Amino acid sequence: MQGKGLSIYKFIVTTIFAVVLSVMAADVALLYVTVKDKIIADTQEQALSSLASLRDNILGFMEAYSINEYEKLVANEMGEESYAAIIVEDYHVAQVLGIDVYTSGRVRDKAWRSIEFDRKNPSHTSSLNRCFIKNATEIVSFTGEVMGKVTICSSDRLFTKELQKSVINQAITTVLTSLLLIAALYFALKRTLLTPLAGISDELLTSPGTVSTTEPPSLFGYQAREISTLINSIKIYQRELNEQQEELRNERNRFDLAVQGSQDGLWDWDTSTDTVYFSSQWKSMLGYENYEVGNGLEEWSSRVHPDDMEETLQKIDDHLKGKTDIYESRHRLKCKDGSWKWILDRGKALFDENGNPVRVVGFHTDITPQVRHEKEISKARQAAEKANQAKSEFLAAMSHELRTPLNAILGFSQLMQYDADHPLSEKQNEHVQNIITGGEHLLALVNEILDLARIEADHTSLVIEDVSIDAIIQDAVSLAQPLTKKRRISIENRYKPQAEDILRTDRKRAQQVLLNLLSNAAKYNRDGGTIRIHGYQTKTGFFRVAVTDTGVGIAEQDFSSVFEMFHRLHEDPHITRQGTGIGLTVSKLLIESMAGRIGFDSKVGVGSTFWFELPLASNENAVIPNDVTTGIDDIDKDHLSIVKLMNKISQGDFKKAELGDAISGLQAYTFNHFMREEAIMEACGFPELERHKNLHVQIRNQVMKLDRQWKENQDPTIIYALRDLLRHMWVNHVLKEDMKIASYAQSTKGESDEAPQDSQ
Amino acid sequence: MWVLHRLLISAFLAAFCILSAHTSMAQDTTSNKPSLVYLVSDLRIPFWDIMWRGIKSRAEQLGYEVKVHSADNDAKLELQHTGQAIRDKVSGIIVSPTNSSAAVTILKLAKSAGIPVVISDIGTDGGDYVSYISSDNEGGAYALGKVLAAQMQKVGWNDGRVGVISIPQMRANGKARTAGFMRALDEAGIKGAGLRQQVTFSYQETYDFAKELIAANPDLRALWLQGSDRYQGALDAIRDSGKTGEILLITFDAEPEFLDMIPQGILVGAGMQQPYLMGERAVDAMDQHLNHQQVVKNQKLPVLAISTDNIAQELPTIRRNVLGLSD
Repeated sequence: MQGKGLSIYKFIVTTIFAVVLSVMAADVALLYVTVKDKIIADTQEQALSSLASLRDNILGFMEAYSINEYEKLVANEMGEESYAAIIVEDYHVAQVLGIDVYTSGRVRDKAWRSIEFDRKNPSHTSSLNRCFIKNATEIVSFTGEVMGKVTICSSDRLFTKELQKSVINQAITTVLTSLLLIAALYFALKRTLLTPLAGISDELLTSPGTVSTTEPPSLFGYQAREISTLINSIKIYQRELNEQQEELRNERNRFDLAVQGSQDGLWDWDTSTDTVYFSSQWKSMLGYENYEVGNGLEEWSSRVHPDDMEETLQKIDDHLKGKTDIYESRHRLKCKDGSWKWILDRGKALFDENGNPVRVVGFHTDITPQVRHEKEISKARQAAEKANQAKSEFLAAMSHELRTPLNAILGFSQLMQYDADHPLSEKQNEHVQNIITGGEHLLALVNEILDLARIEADHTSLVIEDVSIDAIIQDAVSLAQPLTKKRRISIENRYKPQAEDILRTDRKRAQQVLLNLLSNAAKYNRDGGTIRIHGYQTKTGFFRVAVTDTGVGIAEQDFSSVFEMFHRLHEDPHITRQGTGIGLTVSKLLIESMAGRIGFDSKVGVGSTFWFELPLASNENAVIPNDVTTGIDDIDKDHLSIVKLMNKISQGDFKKAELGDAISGLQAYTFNHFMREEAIMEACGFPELERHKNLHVQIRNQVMKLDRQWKENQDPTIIYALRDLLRHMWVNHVLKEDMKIASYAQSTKGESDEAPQDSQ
Repeated sequence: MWVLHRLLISAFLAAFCILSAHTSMAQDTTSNKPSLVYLVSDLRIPFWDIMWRGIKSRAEQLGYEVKVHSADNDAKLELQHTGQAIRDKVSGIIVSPTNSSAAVTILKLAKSAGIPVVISDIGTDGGDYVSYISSDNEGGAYALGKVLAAQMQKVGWNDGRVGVISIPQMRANGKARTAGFMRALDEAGIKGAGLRQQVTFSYQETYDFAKELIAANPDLRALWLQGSDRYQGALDAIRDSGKTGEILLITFDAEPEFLDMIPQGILVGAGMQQPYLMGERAVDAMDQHLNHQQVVKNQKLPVLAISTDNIAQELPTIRRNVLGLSD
């Protein structure tokens, strides 16, 4: 505080001096203007007065040739300090002496002393030419004779002296006034400002952030209260400031960590100079050392893949013109080793008050593995889809081809059994019965395969509606009764119907799945066993239906292949023969297509419990793929895949590693889907392409951010955030925006068919 | 008394002859001898004439040609003579100016022409000069005061007072005379009776001042005139006041008739300047200057205090130095 105090004193002293000096200087200038004319007038008046006096008084002496006497008069007049010279020309004496002119008088020397005029002295004569004011008069005798001439040369000495005197007076006044003001201000400021400031400073230094209840000493009462309030306010602000600084530090550390952790490269482009700051990560991403890349814009532009350049520049231009909120581009950059890397380049510009861009800051994200992954996924998926499609088509075709002869076999076999004209022997009847049993099994198998094929080929259309679970269970139990009756297996329906137990699902398919589970429970039960049906709501908005049998159970090593096609649950050939090995696979596909999930628990020798969960009508989290079907195959396939992942993530019983994979998968599917959508939109000339792109960017950024956060820290809140994002942003996007694309694309069909499958 | 009278007449005649001869000589001077000129206020006044004779005598002794220009108390003429001397490029000027103010102009003109000037009496109000020759007014007045005091003591008038009729006290010589005289009286314990300064220097003025002093001071025992030419006014006032024989008279300066009046006791004494000697000294000073010798800047010559006691003894000196009479 001492050092500061001194600087304040210096500042005050300097300011006061400067202010007073300015005022005084202005005063001197004013004085100069006002006094100058007066002094000149006074000098002139005085000179004229002296001139008249000399003229009158010299005359007598001149007539009497008393040169010394009138020189005394001149010397006497030279007592007037303003006169530089008084010269008398005596024509009378000149005539007497026989010379042209007799000149006498007095001039001033350098010390301003009055000395005798010597006309032979050049300095004397030249001084006459430097008169400030020159007055002269002739000396005329009473007879009219011109006796001589007297000249008074006035100097500006008086004027200068007056001015000097004024300046000195003003300077003294300035100093004294300044000292007085400084003293007064010092005591006033010390009392009213510096002492309180010192108190504030001491208080803040000794106990920063601690609110004090005591008042600073040596102050007036009201001052003390105000200062105390001020100190406390400052402390509060100080504390808040510290907290904000700490928060800012944390934010910065977090940002730094995020940037480091994300492995993103930062760039900062000054558009006025076209210089760019490239972070070391930016450079190392391309394989360069820090010193190998300069700060020119060409460091970036020269490395952009020629095929990507035009589109990238267009995106930059669009953003700089304000057409897009965020600049985003996927393009390839050349690495030091000559290879290419896919970069997701995102940035945002800062604009001046005229709307001109002054700075653009952004990140480079290396998405080469992701692009590769996407390509691989796309390729694999296309191959799988192609194979699956071929399989489905083959199966459908073959099923038709199989069912026709099978129906003929079954039909003719039954005719043989019931042909009264040609009754079968017992042995024949047994054989025909075997043919019918085998044929029926084969037909069931074919029907299930056909069903499976339809589901996999997405030819299954779901009728989603609000359905009472009680009705589904009742109908399924009723249909399952014949299966259990022969083996004396009892079905206990322990579900207690509730009015709010309404599912949002396809009733027929839900019933089909339950019937399949009851059928299995019967098949794998022991004779006289029991089947129990339980139903209840889960905490996640689903309704679980569980079917428990008292059968042989499933060995733990078989758990993973329970839902695989043609997997038999038991080695007992009798039991096995009763199933097709496809039912659970179909059930699983159906349940998942209805935004549900299916599972089981089992213990060998005790029995198994198979369950499925379907979303309640009140569950907004579950998204049924049927709801996000737009009618465009490519988009719908993406939606289906994404919805399945979303539902898995939302159901939340994944292991963390699996969740990470699901989120990464979701991100990849989302990116791929958006690219496909944009390609379709571009192909069909969708008018709201840019708006869609912006939405895509927002969703994609959010998904990427959550994916990154999940990789850093597996915090459950991230899953909740992702769930909210998916439910609100993504589904809304699909329902509101993608439908527009579908309707527009369908209206311009033909164009969308030509849309590329993969923009990459 | 007769002897003195004849002596003075002879002296004046001789002086006139010499002056005439010298003037004609000066007018004819064309030789290459260094020349001097004496500018005098009024040669018609014996004092200046005696001084001129001293100058002339000494100058000729030293080998100078010398001229005299009398201004006849006219400033214009004095200036004309000065201008003429300058045009003649004389070696030196000795001046007894019309007044000390005029001397300043003469000195200035001479200086601008590079001509040295010696002032002989009167003095100057300023300017540069080689030497100023004057009478020791104070010393002479003191000596004169002693003469009066001695006479008063002699007759037993110690307690009597002395009145003074002075020349203007603004003049330096007036002040000096008063100071010297009063110092002598003071030493003798004689009181003053007042001082009247002459303005018109007229007979009437002297008479009136004397009457006033006598009337105002019943114990007045002496009158001192600082000038000599109006002594008759004082004598008449004493007589008319009925104080003849009761009041002594003493003067500064002298008239030729004083050589008779002092021995007769009409005057107690007189202070006598030595104009002839002053003229000689002026030439000596100029000669020394022209010969690049040291010159005394101010030379005061003694004033002779003449009384009945010493007049006979000092007569040769008076003849030569006061009256300018050669033997």
